[in-house]
Amino acid sequence: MIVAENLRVEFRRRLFAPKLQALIGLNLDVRDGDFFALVGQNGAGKSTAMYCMLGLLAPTSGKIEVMGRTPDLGAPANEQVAYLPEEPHYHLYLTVEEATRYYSTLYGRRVPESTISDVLDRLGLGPFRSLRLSKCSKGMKQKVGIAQCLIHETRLLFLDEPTRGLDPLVVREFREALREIHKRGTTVVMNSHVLSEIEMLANRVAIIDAGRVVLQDDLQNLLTLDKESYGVTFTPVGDVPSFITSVERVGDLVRGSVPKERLYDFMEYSRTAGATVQECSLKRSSLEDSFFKVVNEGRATA
Amino acid sequence: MSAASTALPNRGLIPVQTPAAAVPPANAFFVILRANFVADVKFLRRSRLIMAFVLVFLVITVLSLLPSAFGQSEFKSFGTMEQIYGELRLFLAILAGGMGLFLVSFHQRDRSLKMVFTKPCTPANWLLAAMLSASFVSFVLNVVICAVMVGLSYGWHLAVRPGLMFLACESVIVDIIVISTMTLLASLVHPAVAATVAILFNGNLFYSFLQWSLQTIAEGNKTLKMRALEHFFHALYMIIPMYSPFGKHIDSVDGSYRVEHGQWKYLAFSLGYALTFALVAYLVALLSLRRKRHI
Repeated sequence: MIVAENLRVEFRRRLFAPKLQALIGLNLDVRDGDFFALVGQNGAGKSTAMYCMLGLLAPTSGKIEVMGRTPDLGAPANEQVAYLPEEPHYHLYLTVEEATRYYSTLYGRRVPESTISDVLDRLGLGPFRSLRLSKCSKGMKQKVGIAQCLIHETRLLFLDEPTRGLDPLVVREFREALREIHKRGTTVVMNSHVLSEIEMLANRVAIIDAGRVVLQDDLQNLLTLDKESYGVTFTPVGDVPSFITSVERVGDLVRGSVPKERLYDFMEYSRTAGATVQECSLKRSSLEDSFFKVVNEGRATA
Repeated sequence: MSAASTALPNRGLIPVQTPAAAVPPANAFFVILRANFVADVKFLRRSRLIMAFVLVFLVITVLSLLPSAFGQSEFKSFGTMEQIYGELRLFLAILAGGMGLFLVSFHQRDRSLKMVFTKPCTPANWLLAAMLSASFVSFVLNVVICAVMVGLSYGWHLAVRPGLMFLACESVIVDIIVISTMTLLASLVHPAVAATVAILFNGNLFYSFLQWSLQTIAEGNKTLKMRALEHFFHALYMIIPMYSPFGKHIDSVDGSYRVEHGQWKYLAFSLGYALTFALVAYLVALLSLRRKRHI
């Protein structure tokens, strides 16, 4: 669906300012039907990568193809693309209803008024349809962005920090809507800082750091990345053995990590010292754990 | 505002989605052009800067009309009407420039174009709609002002001459050239620079430079540097758009509101020049728009 090979993007913020390298040989492969998440710190290059996929930014070098074509401004292939921007860069002089109608008509088809009313009502924007976007809160603007994404059934949906500024109720509804859209066959590419949200939605993840993809894999592989250690929680007696790492004290309890090969040593310690073991299980790392591990390893290698 | 979130119906967010057509509809270009055009007209109608400009000029015009309200018969003359219409046409030309400038620079600077170009709407379509909408608003204002002047003629018992219609048409043509110029400049440089360039570097400036260089050469300074300067000013004079390309042939209409038989053709020539220039400006602005980063 999307292939990026050795993508480089350099630009100047001002005339005569030194060149910034936003992407340095980025490689990416988004398959048809993926719910693909781009993860990275601020300035890592996630949004730049997405702008290249959308045709808003021409790469300095490298190749990018979306649905078999090089993306371009207003290309006919955009008929199959919906995009929700990170910042509410909308036409602020239009009302909620006018903006929704305008954005949906840019697909070259007139959208029935009933469909526009329906989507605005579903997002709770019905009572505010005559309000200009300049007067709307950030969350309401975001909802307008969501509305224009939901009106047309597209093959590809780009979401740049989609739940920023939304209230928890709408976030949950929106997540459900995304799952449903993905289930219907739409490929979703999402940028987000909310790693828990990505864990809930995505099936594939690319971790971007300093303009390059440091890891691209199925989410499940990232979540079970740390198969080599056990997470333990116990009431200590005497000193905590040195083979237990990442020790954290919570009241009378100690939480820590035991390497797989030292599991029997831990059992022996608890039996001989009389420590009460509350929990001992194969450690499943969260996406957050994997993210920091991969980024730190990448930087150490570099 | 928070009512928007609490009123969320428990039906799921996805409406009945319109499936994407395998082949875009044949009239897709015009559907998109119309959508852009309507949005741009709304922008022009709601822009506070443009509205403030219109109000200031209307207040000035109304104040200049006040003496007639107190019945000073000498004020209700052809000369006064000519002066008012001249001022209004100048105002329309400045407004047209403002519309062309703001339409492009505002949308570029507020980054809302990323919402447009990530859909199957090309920069060509968007730019065409911007120029058409500014020209349309300018045309409507010209018609309204022409109608007001006709009304004023009747009110002041002055003959309604065809020159009024002629000048209205010429004003529309001038506005097209001004809109094209400002659209082009706004797509190339910062709006403040664009406005400065439009005000300072006009045809008159380079014409006076050209005249000076020709006179200097005629006085005997035929150095290579002077000749090169003369060619340079001549080239610049030719490149700079002329707002009234056949002005010397139609200037007489402005003073009398009478149109001689052969003068209408110059209106057609002016229209031809305006459309040609608009096309060139459109193509260059399009090239610039395509090269810009809309992020």
